[in-house]
Amino acid sequence: MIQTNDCVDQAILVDYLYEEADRETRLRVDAHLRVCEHCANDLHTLQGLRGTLHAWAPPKPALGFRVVSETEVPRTPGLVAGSTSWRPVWGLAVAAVLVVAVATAIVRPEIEVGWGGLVVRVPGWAPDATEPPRERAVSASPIERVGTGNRETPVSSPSGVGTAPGTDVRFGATWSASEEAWLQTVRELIRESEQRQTSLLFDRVQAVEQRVAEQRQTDLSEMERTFREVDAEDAEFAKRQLLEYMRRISDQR
Amino acid sequence: MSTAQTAIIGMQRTDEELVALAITGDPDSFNQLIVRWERPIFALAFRVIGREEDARDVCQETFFRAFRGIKGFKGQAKFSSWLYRIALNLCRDWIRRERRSAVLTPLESETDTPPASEGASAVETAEDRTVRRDLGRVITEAMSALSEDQRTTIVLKEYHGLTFQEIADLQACPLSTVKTRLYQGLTVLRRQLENSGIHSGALLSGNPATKRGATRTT
Repeated sequence: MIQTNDCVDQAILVDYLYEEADRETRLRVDAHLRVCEHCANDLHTLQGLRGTLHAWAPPKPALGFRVVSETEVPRTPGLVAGSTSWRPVWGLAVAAVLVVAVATAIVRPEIEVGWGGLVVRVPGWAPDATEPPRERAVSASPIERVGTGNRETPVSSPSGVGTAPGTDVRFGATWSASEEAWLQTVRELIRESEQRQTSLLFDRVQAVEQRVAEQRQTDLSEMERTFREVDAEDAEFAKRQLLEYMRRISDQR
Repeated sequence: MSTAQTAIIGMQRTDEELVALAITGDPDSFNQLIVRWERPIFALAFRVIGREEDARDVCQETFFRAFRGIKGFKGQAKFSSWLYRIALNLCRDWIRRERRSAVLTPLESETDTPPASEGASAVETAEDRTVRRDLGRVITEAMSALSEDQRTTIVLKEYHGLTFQEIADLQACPLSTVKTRLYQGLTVLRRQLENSGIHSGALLSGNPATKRGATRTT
């Protein structure tokens, strides 16, 4: 095969191949191809390849995309198709968080986090004793529901916040960052609720203790007064009076 | 206004004129642009990502974004180049989202075989059609061996006829890089086809000396 030392480089060859070379370059390449069998074959093969490539055609499905006015198209909720669609989505998310906050403040669920995932338990519901226990299997889904079928509601997304009483929902280890943030918000709300409840309970205990102390002081005063009035003849009568008083106080409590 | 009416009226105006009307809020003008460009954009998306349904989605999203951004289109580039840029960005996003190179699937059914008007001679026998379908399947497989940049460059040049400068602008790379990608991509394709028994030189000269019996289709 004849090959010269001044072969055309790749860029010039593709310019020539796709007819984008200027006239001077084209004349120079033509002259070279007459004496260089290597470049002539290279070009010949590439031209053949271009012909072959034209056998590759895409399918022709019905497209027919058209712009229509908003009044012609019923609005589809949840359709993500532009900058305006994120607003209702976030609105739903905010509403869902509020619902969760109210629900958790009412039912005060217990949350446990461990290697096995997150477990949310809601007091006030016991599993149906007539139902056989279910085998726990490793689920491929990031969300695994535990408990009876019709009582479970997943809480992995804002749409699933309507947790039925007694629901025991377990999450796998592969939740997303948004779900993690959402769970963090729930934990904060639960912690605040517990602190409020503890504070109220403490106040009520203090009030009861104060009432008991006041009553004890009253009792002691009454007993002292009774003992001062007692003389020898009336000792028996005084004892009966004291016992009667003590029984009456006891009945009042 | 019917699609046919839209198409007929659209033929009388240039892209620039239709864009100017669309910017003023005329949806019919934009629809005329869609009629004109939906096939090329779909073909581009299909050849780059290789899935018909996803190519349809990319095509639809391309025009949706173009419609939303038409008022920001200042005419720095041709409208077609702008559309190509949007579509290629969407294709790139799709490939990254899928975290894989494009999935090029061969056309399986007889009805998927491209019609004679595209890439075939005017008179095509059933045998020619079968040969061309087989050849298309081999090319599809060969294309999947290319890098995304090489494939996109070949598609833009070979099937859409863009100049090297337009491709360089779309891919935001130097002119020399486009030519190198094209040459290297064609070299890889030639090797892949030869491994499948398709010899380009034989195709060019009309010599049916190919293992799969392919013939030149142009």
